[in-house]
Amino acid sequence: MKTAKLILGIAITIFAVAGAQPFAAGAMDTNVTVEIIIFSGRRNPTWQLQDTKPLEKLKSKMKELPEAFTNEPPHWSTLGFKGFYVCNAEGFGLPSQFRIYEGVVNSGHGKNAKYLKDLTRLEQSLIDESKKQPLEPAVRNAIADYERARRAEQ
Amino acid sequence: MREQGDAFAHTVARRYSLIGALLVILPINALILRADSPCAITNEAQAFVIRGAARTVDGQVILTWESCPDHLYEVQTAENILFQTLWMPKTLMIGSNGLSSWTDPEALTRGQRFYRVQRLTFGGDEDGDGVSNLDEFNRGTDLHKPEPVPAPSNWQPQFSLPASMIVGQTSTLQVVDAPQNCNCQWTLVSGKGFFTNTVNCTTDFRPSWSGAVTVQVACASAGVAYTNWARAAVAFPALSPVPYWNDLPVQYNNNCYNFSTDIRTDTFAQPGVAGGHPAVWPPHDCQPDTAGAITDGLQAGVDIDDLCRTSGLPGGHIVALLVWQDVDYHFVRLEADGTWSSKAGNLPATRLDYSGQPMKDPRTANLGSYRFCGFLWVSPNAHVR
Repeated sequence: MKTAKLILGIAITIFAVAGAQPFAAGAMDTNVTVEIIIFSGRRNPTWQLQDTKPLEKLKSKMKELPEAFTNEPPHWSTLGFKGFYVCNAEGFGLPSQFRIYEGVVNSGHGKNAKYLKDLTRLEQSLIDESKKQPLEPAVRNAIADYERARRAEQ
Repeated sequence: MREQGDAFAHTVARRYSLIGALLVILPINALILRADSPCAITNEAQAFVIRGAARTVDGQVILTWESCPDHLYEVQTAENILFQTLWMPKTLMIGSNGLSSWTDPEALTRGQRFYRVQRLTFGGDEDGDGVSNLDEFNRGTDLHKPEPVPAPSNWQPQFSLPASMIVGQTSTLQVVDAPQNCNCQWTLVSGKGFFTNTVNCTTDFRPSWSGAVTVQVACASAGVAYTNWARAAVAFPALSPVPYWNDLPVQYNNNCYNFSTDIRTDTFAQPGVAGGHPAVWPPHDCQPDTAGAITDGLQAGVDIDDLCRTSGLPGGHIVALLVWQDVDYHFVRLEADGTWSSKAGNLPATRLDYSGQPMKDPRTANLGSYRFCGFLWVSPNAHVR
């Protein structure tokens, strides 16, 4: 009986801890979704974020990130690969949805939009994780081209 | 010899039957002697008198009639007297004070001919063209055929063109104050459009592209050309404003197909879904998405250089389909000002191409991996889902 109570207690403890920190660092399954902004007619490809450490890092640095610009550059709305949307990130103390592109984190919309420089290299971590996803060649190539261009700029 | 003209035409008529060298004079009307002086005509309907119709020794026929110098006299001939006799004018002259005469130069060659003399007032207007009989006589024009009336020197042909028009819209233009026999020619001085159903001073005008148009009319009257022109601002059909599509949640839930068809569904609409024939995936070429769009109520085969004849404008609007082979499709739409705009997936709608330049023509704009397929007309009854 004592053994049973012990096991139950351990189980409750585990669930309680898990429930308190559903997006703990290194968790394999999160409900944070990453959307690759690339298509016009089709729905964009998505995947569930595996490594959430970059999100925690972003959260810790968020208040320190400098403003990149105030108005969104026009080419952010044209065709082709235009970065990533990170969705359902509120569990990490981040905006529910934000976009990251060209090293800039964009949250909010319209007049409330903010554009902050991504000093945490979140974008690169997303690019790296995208390489592990079963993406179709055209999407994979577009991200690879973008990565090369970004490196050339830096 | 005195004879009364017929009351209807204020004329007298005589028949001369010329058979060989024999001149036969057969009076048609009863003989009535005039009481008043020939040059004191107080009643224009009153008959006047033919004094003589004589054949000369050399075979010519000389007509002599009472006349006054304030009237014109026209001698007419006919070959037969029938129910509807065709009287041919032979000469027109101002009357003399007392008697006038005329010699028929063709009488020698004729076996039989009928004559009548018609008296005309100076101020009368036989053909109703606004030019008096005397003026027609002085000009040498035909009394019985309306002449072009010169317009006043300061006259301008007036017509109205709507201040604003939609491409494909038809506007009937008419010179409202054109003089009789005015001949008008319509031309497009600037802008794009064409004329149909042109009949003299009336035409149908249809603008075929946006921008300012200037229509000119040149009317020729009595050998003088008069011109006038009018301008209109032409636009393509107005669509919901681009910023509308960039508000939340519209932006995230509507794609290029929604934006270009101007139909918000919040479903990321796909060609053919609403029409019951979803486009086959992947889009190896233009066909699947074109076919899908057609089932949704769009019309293919639109010639951008001949929109009036190949689309339903001014109803509906124009879009273009582009395909990224085996990967994706993209629609762009024609804005009211003739430029193009698009919405890349769930990003904000924009008027720029891939290079950040205003999109003037989807056939030549830089749209990355997407290649132009064709133009389509979005019917007002189109539906997407």
